[in-house]
Amino acid sequence: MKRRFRVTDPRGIIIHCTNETWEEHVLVNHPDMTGKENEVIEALRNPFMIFADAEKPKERNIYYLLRTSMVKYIRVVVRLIGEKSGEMVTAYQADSGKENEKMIWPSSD
Amino acid sequence: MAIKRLVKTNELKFNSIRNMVEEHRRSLYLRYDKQIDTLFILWVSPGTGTIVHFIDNHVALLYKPNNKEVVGVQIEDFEYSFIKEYVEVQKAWRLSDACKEVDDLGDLSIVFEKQKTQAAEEVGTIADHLLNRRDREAALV
Repeated sequence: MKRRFRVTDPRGIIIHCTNETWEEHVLVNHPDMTGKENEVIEALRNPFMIFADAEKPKERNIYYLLRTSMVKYIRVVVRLIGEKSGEMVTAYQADSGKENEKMIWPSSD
Repeated sequence: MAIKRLVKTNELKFNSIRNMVEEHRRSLYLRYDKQIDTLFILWVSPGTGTIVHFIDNHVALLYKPNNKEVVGVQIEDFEYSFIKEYVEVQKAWRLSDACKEVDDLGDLSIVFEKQKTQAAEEVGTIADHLLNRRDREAALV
């Protein structure tokens, strides 16, 4: 599958997104994401916060970028592959997350 | 700690779903994305831009950003965990029981439409229940 972009997150995890993911899972399910690829890249590169997923905390991380309008986030779901890489699953505009998500970045250490 | 909620559920509007129920309209767009295990149900054109508003760990309302009108539902981890919690949705979602009625492709398309509507209705009932529960919790706070 052809790679669309590759980004390194603030923890050094390299995240890939394929053309198939972008076109068939992001744009088909959330057509309002057209033209927002750079915001998704920014969410991964320079997120507001990163959370462990509510359902699969060891397998998926959720990246949030707070939009300047302050009324929505770009929410990006990433499937982790090993310790240092990940694959983008989907991305969309959201005003909230799931209650059971646990913040993992920035860490409190 | 979950991320801060930017819009409260009681700021959202439910006029379009109310109208649809009152007028007995059943034109629903239903899409299941197997790869990301997410079910989308919309009662407007699938090309409509929406914001995702979570009401629990699976279910999110989809609303139009310009008027905050709710126009759909998105359910994540649908097969992995959602339908295991809600038996009625599972029954409606699985074709195995319904396929007793199927003799040919014509029957299959009828059953598919019936099951699709039934699954969407069950999901609607659950979303309604979750919203009521949120209202009660908010009242207690």
